[in-house]
Amino acid sequence: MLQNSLDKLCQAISGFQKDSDFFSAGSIEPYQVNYLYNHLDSLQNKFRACELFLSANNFKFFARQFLLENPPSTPNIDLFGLTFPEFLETRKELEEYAYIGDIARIDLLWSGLKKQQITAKGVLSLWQDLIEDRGNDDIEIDTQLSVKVKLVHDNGETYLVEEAESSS
Amino acid sequence: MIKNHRGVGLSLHLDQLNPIIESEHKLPYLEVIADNWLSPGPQHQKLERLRQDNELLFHCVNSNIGGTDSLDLDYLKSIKQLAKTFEVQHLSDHLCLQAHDGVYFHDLLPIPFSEESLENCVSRVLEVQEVLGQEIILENLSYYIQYKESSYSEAEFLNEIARRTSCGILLDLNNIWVNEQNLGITCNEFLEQLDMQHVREIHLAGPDRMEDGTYVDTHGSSVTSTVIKMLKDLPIKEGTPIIYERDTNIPDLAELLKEVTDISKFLESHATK
Repeated sequence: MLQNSLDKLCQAISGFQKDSDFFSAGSIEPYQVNYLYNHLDSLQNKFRACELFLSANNFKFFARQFLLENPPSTPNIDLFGLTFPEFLETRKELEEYAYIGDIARIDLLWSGLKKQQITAKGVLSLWQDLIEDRGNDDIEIDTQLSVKVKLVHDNGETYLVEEAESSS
Repeated sequence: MIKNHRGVGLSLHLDQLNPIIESEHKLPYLEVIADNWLSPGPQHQKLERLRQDNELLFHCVNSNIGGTDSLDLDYLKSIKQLAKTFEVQHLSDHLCLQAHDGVYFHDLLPIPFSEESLENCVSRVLEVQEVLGQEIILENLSYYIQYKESSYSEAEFLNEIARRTSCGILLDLNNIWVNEQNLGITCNEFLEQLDMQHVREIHLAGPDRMEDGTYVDTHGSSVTSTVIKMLKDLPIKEGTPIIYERDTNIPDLAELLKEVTDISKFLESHATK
């Protein structure tokens, strides 16, 4: 009985159904509105250039379709929409916009979702900035992350490289 | 009835971190949505800085206590780790459904208050507490539908869970006010039924009224005078955190802090010694 009631509620919300018979009072509409707009907001925040490029109404149309076909599967809403670039690339309506997927991927990079592995060079560059106090207020150092590096002498220059990188 | 309270704290958003650090305003409590801190980012250092001067509370939105999917152990372990990092002792979530059949709704959905649902919730609260290694605090909900199969009131349901699991109750006064407006379940009825000895936190907020007349718990307006009056009459335990939540239509920090201070002063003027 419990499973059945929860099934009906969730299908009614995510399927944007108009009528349901499992509740005795109230309306399901506030939940449908929340479901749509919470996830639409999340996509808008991540794909700002895409929204400008497609225009707000078209973006909303594709975002809604994406939500219907790809219901959120993680508690962290920051991770919702990671496949939106590929989704846009498969849309027939956007066939002429061959670069829409790339724009979306650049959006994702800007929104900082895809954590790139910090390379030794990146770490050195970061330290250099910190030593010279070059406005790193917004840089957070993950002290749990360690990268093995090794000193390399090459053509009179000395620099650090990741150990795995130098041995390959 | 309220006595020796420490004042009202604030539910804090990411974009309020810098203003509150700059203001050097001390609040008795700061609450954050723990889920918003699961992604790495540049703001963690600032939260750590705030934590040193303010008692930090974690409010969660994905434990899925009312659901039937397997508990998301990765999520719970992430919350546990986050609580350890920021030395947070106070973890709350909602008595609701948040994920079903693998779909996360990022919302607080209602559950039936039936015997079967009660057994389910009790078992899941115990499991969540086992994973987290501490008792949790469960919040009552504003809801927009009522299930036909419910046989308990929400207050009775919460009492029973608290009694059987030792979890606490987070009493959201705005939620019961919203339920009174939309569904006719009166605040008095709820408060008379709720076992106040389990209440370990209070939430205050303001709703918005939709075009069709429904009140929605948007946390988008000031706390209503009815809610503040209810608060002053509550027989809550000394030291119970009181948090003001404002999530939409947010005024600037100075105005928000003034509102928090005004509520604290009102309570102070009505406090029993």
